[in-house]
Amino acid sequence: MNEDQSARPSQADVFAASQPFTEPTGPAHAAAQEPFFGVDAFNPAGPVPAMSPFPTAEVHASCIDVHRSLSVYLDGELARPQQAAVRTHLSICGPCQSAQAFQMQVRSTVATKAIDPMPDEVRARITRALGFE
Amino acid sequence: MADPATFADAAMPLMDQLYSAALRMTRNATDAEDLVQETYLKAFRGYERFEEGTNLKAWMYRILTNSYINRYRAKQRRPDETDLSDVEDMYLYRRLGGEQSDVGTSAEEAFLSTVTDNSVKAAIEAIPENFRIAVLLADVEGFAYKEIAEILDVPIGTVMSRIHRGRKALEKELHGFAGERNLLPDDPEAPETTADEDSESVTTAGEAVSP
Repeated sequence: MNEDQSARPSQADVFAASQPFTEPTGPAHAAAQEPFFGVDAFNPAGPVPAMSPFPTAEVHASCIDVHRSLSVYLDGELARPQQAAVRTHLSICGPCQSAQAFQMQVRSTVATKAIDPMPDEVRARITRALGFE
Repeated sequence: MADPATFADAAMPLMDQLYSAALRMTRNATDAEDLVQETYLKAFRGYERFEEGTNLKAWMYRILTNSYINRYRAKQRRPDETDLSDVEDMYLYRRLGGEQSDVGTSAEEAFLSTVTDNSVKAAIEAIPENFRIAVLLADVEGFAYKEIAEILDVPIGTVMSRIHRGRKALEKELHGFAGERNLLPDDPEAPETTADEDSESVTTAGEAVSP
């Protein structure tokens, strides 16, 4: 399969949604009635500030919404309504808080355990090649 | 336009990070050293074209990534084209029984305590190339999607897809490494077994949520 083609929203199940909002249809643990995490949920302008000034009442996230969008949420790259909805859900849902904490630990583990210092002799070789000595 | 005299102070502190990324890309120390050297030489020669005040780290990573693709992808003839779509969201968390247990269970913590530097490096290196570079730039180097899109010269939607799928593949690899070393609790997503042999295994309710 061509990867770049598969990245198109219409061909990937995660990005297949065309409607970015989940209507408030039940308790926080209920499954989403409408897709929440579609390409429209992504904020192409970049990370959303932690304290969004925008109202959030019209967007609600279920546990399934949170599971699907947690990765992008932790990147701070969801669109503002979805980012706020996930944050609200996480504030009241213990199991999703647990999932969030675990995902954050995994990220921290990956970020801190994949570091290799440049060998000194190679650093010296590159420094010489650049004429900095 | 940047002053070449400032290159050393600005760019040399990035060398360890660039070398780590080069190692994950090439999976070979000699190639990684050559790639970093090539990156620095190209960056130094082109530093006058770098716009001072913009993101030097992203600029250096773009040179690194392009150099890698031009030099090493040619060897491969074609990039990896692996379908990763069968890996569900939160793969690792589900496999460790997180959905069936209370907040902050020991199974997840025990798993994370067993993850070594080498297993993380090997897991990253096992991800197909396009996904590996995206995950590397996001999770190890901390770039935002927009920066990664500029580094890789692909649309942001492609970056999002590669990171999303690459992370799931990474979790699967990490899970596999732990499994090989018998460091995992019983898998709540696996077919039922007769086992009661592992006294440290996690009791699960078997209430798996399909993606």
